[in-house]
Amino acid sequence: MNWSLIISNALYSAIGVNAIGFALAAAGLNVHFGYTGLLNFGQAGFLLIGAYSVAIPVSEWGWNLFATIPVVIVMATVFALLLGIPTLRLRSDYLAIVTIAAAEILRLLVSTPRWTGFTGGTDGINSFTKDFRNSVPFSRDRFFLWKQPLTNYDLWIIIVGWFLVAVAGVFVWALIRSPWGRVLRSIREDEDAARSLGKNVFSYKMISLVIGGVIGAFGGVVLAIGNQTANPITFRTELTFFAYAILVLGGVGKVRGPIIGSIIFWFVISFTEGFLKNATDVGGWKLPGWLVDENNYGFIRFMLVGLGLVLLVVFRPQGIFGNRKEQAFDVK
Amino acid sequence: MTIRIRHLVAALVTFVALAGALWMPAHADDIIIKVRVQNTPEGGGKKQPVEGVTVTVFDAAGTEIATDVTDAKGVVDLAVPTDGTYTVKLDQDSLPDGIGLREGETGERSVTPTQGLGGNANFNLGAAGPEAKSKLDLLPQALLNGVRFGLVIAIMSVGLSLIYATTGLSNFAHAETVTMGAVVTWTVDDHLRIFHSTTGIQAFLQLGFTALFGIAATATFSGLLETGVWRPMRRRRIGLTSMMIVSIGIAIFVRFFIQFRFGDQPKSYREFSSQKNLSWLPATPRDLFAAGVSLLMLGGVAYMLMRTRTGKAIRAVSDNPELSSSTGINTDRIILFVWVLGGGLAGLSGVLFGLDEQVQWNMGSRLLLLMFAAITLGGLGRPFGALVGSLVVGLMVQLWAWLFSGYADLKNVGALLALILILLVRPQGILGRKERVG
Repeated sequence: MNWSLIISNALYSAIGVNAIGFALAAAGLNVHFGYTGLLNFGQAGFLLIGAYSVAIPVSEWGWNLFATIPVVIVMATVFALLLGIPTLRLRSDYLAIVTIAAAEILRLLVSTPRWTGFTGGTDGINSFTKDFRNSVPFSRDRFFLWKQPLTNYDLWIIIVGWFLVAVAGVFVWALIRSPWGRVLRSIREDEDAARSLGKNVFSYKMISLVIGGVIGAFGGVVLAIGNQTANPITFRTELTFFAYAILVLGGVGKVRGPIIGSIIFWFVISFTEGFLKNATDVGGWKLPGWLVDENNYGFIRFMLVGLGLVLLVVFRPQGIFGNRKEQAFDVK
Repeated sequence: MTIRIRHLVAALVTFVALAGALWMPAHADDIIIKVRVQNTPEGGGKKQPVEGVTVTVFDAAGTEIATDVTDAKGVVDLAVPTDGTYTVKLDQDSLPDGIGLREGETGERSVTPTQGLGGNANFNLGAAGPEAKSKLDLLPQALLNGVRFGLVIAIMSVGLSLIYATTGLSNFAHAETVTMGAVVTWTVDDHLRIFHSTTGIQAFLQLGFTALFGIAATATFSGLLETGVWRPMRRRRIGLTSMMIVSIGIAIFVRFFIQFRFGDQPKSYREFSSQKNLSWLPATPRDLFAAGVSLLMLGGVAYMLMRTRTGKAIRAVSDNPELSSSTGINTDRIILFVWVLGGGLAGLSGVLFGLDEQVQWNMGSRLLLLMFAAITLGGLGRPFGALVGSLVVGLMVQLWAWLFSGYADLKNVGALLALILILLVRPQGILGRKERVG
């Protein structure tokens, strides 16, 4: 069992591309669910929009990668409007079902072999990161996080990614402290009260959906650039559910909740995987083969996610940082 | 801590015990012949998969071994028992409109698959000859498929809808209950054989017998979740959103547990792997059997809801739990009954869907959105609405595949789009009550 490698691997995951992408996804969900009480189960769709809004213009029309940022914002806004207009006036579970359906429609549309030339089908789009590679400011090409090697490209996307997370965090923090944010939270607590004070609840919810969606879309951008692929497999419904697990873990309705949640989540996932991989490999101490072997150990960490989500919601719904008094959990 | 850990532990223990069946080693796997059917469009271009083509495999003696229909990727896996030489034959009548065999193509391939490696057969088709079927000729088949598919979804969604009606919970773990029914049945069927024939009446009896295990497993699982998780959560007045997220957690856990033990390769029931369409109907006896069981079950549930005391109590609880409780109805018992019933129906539908397609870890979760679409279309919390919604969804999916045969892999998109559109014009669903909206 190579503990130092397992732990440095897990540490790398905790700050790596996945942690950043999911932190942004969960931060967007936090705006929707934590502050407004919107049950958005289609966050994966926003991330998909982000990833493909970068990948398609670059690979199809030869745009500069950095010029696609406005496209990301516009496309995520359009998607949010399309989702919100039919559903935001309805009860919260309608929004849940429609968002999950819309995200799935998007995923089916980009994976169909029909438009492979445009979307890459199930293989996705893989060659669009040249501009980002050219922007890497480090001349050395190999770095180490303890025993974990990483390239200058990895390091650069991690720095840029965490900068984005910080910007999103400060933005959400300022927004929620503002009078506008107070109205948002009052909608979460009692929609009818907010409405009776003359607030246009629909438009507040709509703007919240857009803001959280755009933040999530940037999560998709980081995932796509960091993994150097925009691939439909990444954006399955599970992504949204894992983002919820991260949000609940860190604390719903707290700015730092999704960030710390994502770091812990990916540390645990990567640690479990490293441990089980070592414990089922040839040589040394091994777990019994009837229990788990090298072919199926990979599923255990996701079972843990499910179990963890259940236990958290039942026993510690405020997560690590949440406050039980102001617990942004139960949408009416 | 008011949550009853005892029950939670009981639920987990029973789940592990039931799923422990999955720990038994599977028998030597069948050998799989992978058949791929593609079409080069007129005037050239990229090859495209052809869905819905019937492919049959015969052994050296000319006996039919297995038959199935290609999926959205134009691929179908046919299982043969032993090494040897087989003939794979394409059913020309099942080719879609405008697609036919090329010149010199016989529609037959000789394949010699081996254990471990399996075998392959590829068909590349071209533009249709004059004998191609017209689109209209395929309509009855599409309608029939739609009704059949709709009936299977209906059994799942009636349970989901009853649970929603009595508890208000959108239970995301329902999909995994469906999968569990199919997987437990498959595993028991693999080990416990009363009848060895895989055709005829013996096959029906064998499958019916093993399906009882799958149904018992899902009903117990569902009931224990109610007593171990949902009831204590209701007592603690934990809100519905939290419960919904807990159901997602359970769904993720069970889904990956099934993948962990059952593997991620699809498997087929041994029974009815080879069946031919009847002469008077474009359906196999297997399909008729499945549709018959579905209709019987749905009729039984409808009768129970409308005519029996329990059914009336269920309807009372879904109208107003507090009021029905004060009139002497034991709400908790009614809700438990609904969970057990919903779980059992889900298990049964899993078996039927597994017969229709294949048993796989994600077979339930692939249908979850269609189930939600069905119950939302019919009106949330209306069991009969769920039935209507399911038939609409089933027909929509299959008619989409028929109408836009080139876009058959997007057939679920049609149903989901319809869901969003109907919510725009009639948010309460087809049979829903208006008061829910706003």
